[in-house]
Amino acid sequence: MYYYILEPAKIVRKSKWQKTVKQKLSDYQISGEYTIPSPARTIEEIIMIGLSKQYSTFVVGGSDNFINRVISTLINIYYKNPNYQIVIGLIPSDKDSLIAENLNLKNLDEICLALQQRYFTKFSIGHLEPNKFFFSPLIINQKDNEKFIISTSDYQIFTYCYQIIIDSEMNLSIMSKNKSSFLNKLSDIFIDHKQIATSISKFSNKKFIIRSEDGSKSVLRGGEIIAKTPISVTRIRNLLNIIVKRGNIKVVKNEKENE
Amino acid sequence: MSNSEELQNSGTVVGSNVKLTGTLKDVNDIIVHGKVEGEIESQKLVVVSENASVKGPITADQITISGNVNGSVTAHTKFELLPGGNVTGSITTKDLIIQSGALFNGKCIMITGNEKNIEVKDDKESKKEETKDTAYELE
Repeated sequence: MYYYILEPAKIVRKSKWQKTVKQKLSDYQISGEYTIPSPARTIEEIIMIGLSKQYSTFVVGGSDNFINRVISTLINIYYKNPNYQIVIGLIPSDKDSLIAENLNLKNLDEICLALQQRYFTKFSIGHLEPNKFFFSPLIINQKDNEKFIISTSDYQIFTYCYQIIIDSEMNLSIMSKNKSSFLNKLSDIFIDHKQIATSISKFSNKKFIIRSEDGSKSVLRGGEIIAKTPISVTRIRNLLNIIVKRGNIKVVKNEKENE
Repeated sequence: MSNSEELQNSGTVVGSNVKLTGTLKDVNDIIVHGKVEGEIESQKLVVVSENASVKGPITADQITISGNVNGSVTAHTKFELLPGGNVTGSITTKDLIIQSGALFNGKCIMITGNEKNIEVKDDKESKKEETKDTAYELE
């Protein structure tokens, strides 16, 4: 039996999505106990109830932001009681969900099939100090290039950029607009901003400290502001057991049989 | 190669709007479009592109340079200096290609056989040894 934690339906569309999910789960015969957080019952309380009932598989359904919040709460509980052996299933609801993209889950049927098979692997989690965690990438977004200083134990990066993305494996990408000359600035008026040439940098390390020269900047996780610069992020390796879909197995028919 | 393709294929990319100081190490490829002040070390390929500059030693299996490098370069398999490239410092490699239009000022050591680890001696030390040798010959 699975323990489902679904995002509260604030809009009609979400309510319909919940019904569809429940129907699909029962079709795949993997229904279980459904819970929805509310002001009266927080995410932490719901998780503690699930643990007291000795559920070992928690399935979280909702937006990337909600999934990250539940995972963050789960890890905080896990640190208090490391004896819990929990397996987590995810049902992303966003159409452009980065979590779904990361897990290569294309539709609800694929998700249900993966949950039914309960094949899980260990995933690293990003730790935003002091007590926040992230599974989907952290994004620092600006309209224009601004000066950032990124430090690691080995090197220091000085850059003018408009976007910084850090995933849970501590892969850091920096996007900068190349528009130093007057002519390029002039061309901005006539050209769509998406078409402006950008330079991309990519780094990997165990820990990054990011600070901005021009005041503090918002750090987004799943569309929600969770911190402001300066921030310090690290990776916690192989912390969570997350249900993923099995690799595609190609059925190759014997040519002689076909003949 | 487009930016997105480059990202997928390489380990570390230092973009043109980036200045990096310190030691940059990666098991995979390192591509430099910006400025690096410090050591670069890769087990695969290091590319220093046009308009990029590196002040410090570079060690890798293969090295391709079309920008500016001020420091010693050690390429275990192959070193290529492309037109417009400028290296000031010693080169240690097994296979050396310097194309027309490139600038190279320094000492070159060619690795022979299977040896990979060659200690590059300072110019002062090598000069001392040379003077010792000549003194011996005169005696």
